[in-house]
Amino acid sequence: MNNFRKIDIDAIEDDYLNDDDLLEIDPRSEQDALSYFTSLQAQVRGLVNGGDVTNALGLILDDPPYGPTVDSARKINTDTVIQILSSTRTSDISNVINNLQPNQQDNLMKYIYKCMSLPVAEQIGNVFLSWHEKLTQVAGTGSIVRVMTDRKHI
Amino acid sequence: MSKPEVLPIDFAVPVTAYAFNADRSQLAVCPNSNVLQIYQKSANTWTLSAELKEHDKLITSVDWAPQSNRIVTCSQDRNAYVWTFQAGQWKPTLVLLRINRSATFVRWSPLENKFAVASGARAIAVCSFDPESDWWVAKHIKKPLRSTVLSLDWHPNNVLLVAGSADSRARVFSAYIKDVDSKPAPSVWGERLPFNTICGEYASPASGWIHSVSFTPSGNAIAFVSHDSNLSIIYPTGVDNPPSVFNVRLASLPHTSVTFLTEDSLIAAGHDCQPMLYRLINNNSWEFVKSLDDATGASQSNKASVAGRLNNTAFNAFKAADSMGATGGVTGVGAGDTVLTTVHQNTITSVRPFAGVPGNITHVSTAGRDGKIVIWDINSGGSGIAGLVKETSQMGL
Repeated sequence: MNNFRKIDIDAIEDDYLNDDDLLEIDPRSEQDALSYFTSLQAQVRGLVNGGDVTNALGLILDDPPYGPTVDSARKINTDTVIQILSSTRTSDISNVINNLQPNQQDNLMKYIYKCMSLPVAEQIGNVFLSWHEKLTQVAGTGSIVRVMTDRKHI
Repeated sequence: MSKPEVLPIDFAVPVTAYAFNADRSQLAVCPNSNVLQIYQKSANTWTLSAELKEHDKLITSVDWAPQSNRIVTCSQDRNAYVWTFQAGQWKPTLVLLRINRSATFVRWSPLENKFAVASGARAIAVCSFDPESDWWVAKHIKKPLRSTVLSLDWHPNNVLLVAGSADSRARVFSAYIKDVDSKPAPSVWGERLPFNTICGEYASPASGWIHSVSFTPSGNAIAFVSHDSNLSIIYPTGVDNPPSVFNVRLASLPHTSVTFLTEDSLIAAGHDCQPMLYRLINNNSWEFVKSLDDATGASQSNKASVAGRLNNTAFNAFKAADSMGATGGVTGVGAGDTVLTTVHQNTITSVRPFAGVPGNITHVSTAGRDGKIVIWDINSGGSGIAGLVKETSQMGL
């Protein structure tokens, strides 16, 4: 590579596109999102204890918090997802996934990838992998592609 | 039902741009270089009749005006040329685009008195002929483009233009040029349409950049395909109302090109290496209907069990070894086993109408990174694959 290739031509222009400019920001305020997803966590626990994993997952995957302004709510919702994923029997996974809506399946795929990047994956990585396998069978590779492109970071 | 016709020219390199002339007897192709090749059909053979050498970098797009028989090319060298056939030769005219990044895409307007060039300079150059100075002049659409424009399509009224961009937005603009265009009739896109009016701006559902855009034959709706494996169809409903948005989540890899066949059906193709037919069902949902490729193409024995790109002997062998937990590697996989079951062996980069009239297209052509150009009857394919590609669709407002 010569010098020509190393010049950052965007830097000499005033109005170039930053990654931040394309970032999606959650319309909810930090406080609202936090209290909503905290109460949701309690509600979801009740559902899971009652054996209704599908509705529990559906609730937290329908409109998850995203973007840099709602970090605390994102953390809570991620914890809730991990609790549900790790407490579901492997034999029930396919059934639960089949009953989710397409947008919920896409969001679940996002959470699975996020979970696999967290330290918790060192202990229960096999859980995420089996969910991932079953989900890919239902939602297809297209769902994985959507996780990669989406700027609504959960 | 006829089989797909693979043109008997082996480019062996990706086809970066191609266009047929009006009666489909000639073909302009850019074989991944700065040269445009013209092929002439005689009986069943295609012979090279001319090489158009004026660009000094890769030609990114070409369009052949059916009535005026002019070719327009654009290139990474930031230039566009209009080629006219005079005295047995193609004569270039340079177009001053005034852009400082690659030109990415070019299309003639329906009346062929204008063309639009998309570019990496976050601008679209709308070019019209100035008879006084004997010159193609460019006028720029800039706002609110944030990134490279990757594709364009003209509305049948010769004024509106839809552009798909890498900032994951599809936008409908007015490209009205005074003294060239007559005033367009009011439409769903608006009534007063001075140059650079933004008539609509639509984001891809999961932030993927927009690969390709298309107007319906009437121009009353648009479709676009984006890199987030979505196909979106947008029906505007007047200036102050939100549009009706249909979004088809693809089960497989993203489409890179889309074109309408009729008001309520379209063909999209891309990384899954096969053209797919979608249709508006009962006026309330766009759904995947079938692939035009019955996926028996290259190796007859290996009937598809999954669609498209990930279906070849080598991939399946590794997959089987993985699920069986084999540690000793995969045996019995040879060089020929990476052949896909589809006709195209790599990403389809462009699908264009081939035969029929606008609003009732009967054949489409595709070109791919495998160096193939293929002509498809829209009634072909569909056997044994419809159930394999699970699609979901939903309507949102």
